[in-house]
Amino acid sequence: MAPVTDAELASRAASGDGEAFRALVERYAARTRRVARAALLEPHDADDAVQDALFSAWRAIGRFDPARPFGPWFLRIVVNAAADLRRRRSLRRTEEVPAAAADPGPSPERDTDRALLREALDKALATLPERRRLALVLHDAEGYGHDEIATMLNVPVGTIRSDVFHARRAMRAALPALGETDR
Amino acid sequence: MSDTNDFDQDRDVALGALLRGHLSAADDAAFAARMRGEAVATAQAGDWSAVAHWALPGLVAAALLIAALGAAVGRAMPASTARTASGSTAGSLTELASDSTQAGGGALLAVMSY
Repeated sequence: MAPVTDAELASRAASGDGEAFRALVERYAARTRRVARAALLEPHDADDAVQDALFSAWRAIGRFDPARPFGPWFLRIVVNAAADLRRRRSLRRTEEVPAAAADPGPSPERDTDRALLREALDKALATLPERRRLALVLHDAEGYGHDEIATMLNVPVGTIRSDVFHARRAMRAALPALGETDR
Repeated sequence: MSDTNDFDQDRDVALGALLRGHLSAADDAAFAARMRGEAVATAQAGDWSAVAHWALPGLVAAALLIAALGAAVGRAMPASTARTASGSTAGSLTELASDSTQAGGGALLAVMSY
C-alpha cells in the first residue's frame, strides 16, 4: 500500500481529522526540531518552541490550504513560535556562543574528534545571525528552495539567496579543516 | 563542503548532511512519539474547545429565552392572581377539600385556610 502523502493528510487534517494531524506531526517532528534548534541553539527551548507550534498549527489547520505544501506552512509556524519564545524569555543568543560550546566541561567525548567537531559547529552556527542560520539550515540541510524559505521567513527571495551565500562562507571560514576533509 | 555557486538553487549536500546530523538528536524518534502524544492531547483539547465555543452562545441564548419567558409569565401572573382573589378562593378551597383523599390533605387545607 502506498504511503499516504502529505497532501492527503493535510487535506484530512484541515477538515478536522485529528488522526491525520497526528500523523503529520510525527512525520515532521524531527525536521521541526532541527529547525527550532537552528533558530534557538538550545535544545530545551527548541522542544518548547515545537510544542508551542503544535498548538498553533492545530488551531490554524482549518485555514490551511491543502493545495499548498504542508512542510513550509508548518515550518513557518515553528519559526514564528521560536521567535515568540525568544522574545518571551529574552534570549539573546544570536551572537553569543552557547555555554556548552564555550565551556563544555569534563566529558568522555571531550577529546574525541566528534566532540571537537560538535564544538566547532556550535560556535560557527552561533556566530551567524538567526535568519542566516535558518536560511542555511532550511536550504542545505532540509532541502527547501529559496522561494519557499522566503515565504517561511517573510523576506524577499534575494535576501535568502544572500543569507545562504554569506552563511556558507562563514561556515567555511570557521571550519576550514572540515572543508578540506569533506571535499 | 563543496564549491558550488552559492547563489544557485543547488544545495551544498555535504554541508547540509553535516548540519542535519549536528542538529539531530539521538532521541528524535522518542521526540516524534512524544509530539504525536501532544498532538492527541491538543486535538482533544481542540475538540472540547470547539464544543465550548458552540455551547457558550447556546447557553446564553437559552438563558435569554428563559428570562424572556419568565418576564412574560411575570406579567401574566398579577391578572391571574387578581381573578383568584376576587372570586374563586372559596371554590378552589372547596375543590381541594373534596379532592383531598390523600394523607396530608387536611394539613393542606389548614395551611390554605390560614
